Amino acid sequence: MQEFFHSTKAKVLLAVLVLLGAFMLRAIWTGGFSPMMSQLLGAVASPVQQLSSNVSNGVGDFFSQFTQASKTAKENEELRSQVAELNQQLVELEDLRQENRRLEAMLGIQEEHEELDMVPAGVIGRDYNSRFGSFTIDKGSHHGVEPRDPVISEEGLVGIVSEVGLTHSKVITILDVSLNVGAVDNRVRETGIVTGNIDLAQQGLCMMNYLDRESGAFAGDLVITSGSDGEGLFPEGLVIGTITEVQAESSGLSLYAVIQPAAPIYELRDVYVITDFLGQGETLGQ
Amino acid sequence: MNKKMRYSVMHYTLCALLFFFIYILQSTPGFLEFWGYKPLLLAACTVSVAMLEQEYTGALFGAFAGMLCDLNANTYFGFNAIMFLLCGVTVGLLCEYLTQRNLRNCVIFTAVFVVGLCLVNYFFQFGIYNYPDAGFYWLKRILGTALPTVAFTPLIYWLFGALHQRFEKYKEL
Repeated sequence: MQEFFHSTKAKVLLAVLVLLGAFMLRAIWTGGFSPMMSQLLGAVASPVQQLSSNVSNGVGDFFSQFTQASKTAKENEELRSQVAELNQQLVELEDLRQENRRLEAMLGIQEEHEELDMVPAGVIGRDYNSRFGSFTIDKGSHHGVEPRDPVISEEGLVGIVSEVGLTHSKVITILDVSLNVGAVDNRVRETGIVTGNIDLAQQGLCMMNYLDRESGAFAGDLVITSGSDGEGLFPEGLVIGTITEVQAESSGLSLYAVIQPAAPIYELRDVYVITDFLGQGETLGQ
Repeated sequence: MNKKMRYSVMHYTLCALLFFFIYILQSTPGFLEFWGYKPLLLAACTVSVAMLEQEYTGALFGAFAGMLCDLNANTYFGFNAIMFLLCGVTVGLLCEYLTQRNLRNCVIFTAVFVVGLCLVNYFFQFGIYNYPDAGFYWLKRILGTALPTVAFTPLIYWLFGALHQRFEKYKEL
């Protein structure tokens, strides 16, 4: 075995190891911008991943609709064949349909929040070790996306961009324990911090901390972003979710609420990256 | 370029394309997902190549597989590449000097690597921050990743084995 460690091959591998270590240090140093190697690989992989994701979605739709159709097919054989034909067309048109849906929804959201600049994006990758529903999208710095841009869906807030490549970006979600969102109970105007919790995240839920003991927050209340998280990460008024229960913190000093996010974090296919909004990046005191 | 080298280039190009294809399958949302967990197929690929092609090739393909994993992973770019490269060298050397090249060992190495990688991930993502209840959450993630990975390992080992045998035959001609 010593022969190997004294060989040229071992020295080459050591050089590769040092290079990879340098990539990692650079990624840590730049905090959110992918190194060149990652951008190159991403630029090659993203279009294929996008295609594969569309095919997967199309096939998923095909099977789910087939299951539904099979119930009615017992009564009507002709209808089933029509459904199968339509499904075949659906797979072919999946790409166009998704793009159309994205743009329509974007128009809807844009009308609600005229002050937001948004880029529609598709979910193209989920990690084997996907941390709290994190995922990769098909838009990157080339499309104007930057680290820490908020990500939303048609239903509500999803998370923020954690790392940006040329044509892809990584997103961490509001279920993540490392993300804190300034929030407000829309009914009683009580503020708190929405963050992830390991137990709750497995059920697709998150929590709102630091609610006053005297607050009137109650199950069913809508929670929205307050726009005052201290770092200017999120605009005001984005729907986060609905309170499902309110409980006392273990210290007994305050309450916390369990929140059902409005966005289906683990099933997202299309999202929107907010690339600019009034007050973005403004820290407290500015 | 002589004949042997030409076949080597073809062989490794096919291997790289196979890695890329398997990465696409592995990372596609909703595909090969079992109860919310996805297998780490590239781990089985790296172990298979390291066993069949020896430590140097195994390490380089490992680095490639790791970089692909880094594209989606919530780790800094380079982390998985380093881990996979080390896996390639270790498995290659173990097969060269200590153990046999067979499916059973491939499954064992893959399982050990996936569990080890998940544990290192756990340490950097949760262990050092001391989040409450993270241990049980991660244990489920480790099993959820390792079990389907191990289940797919024989197929991947067979695939790379067939490719290896085919090209070895040509290279000897």
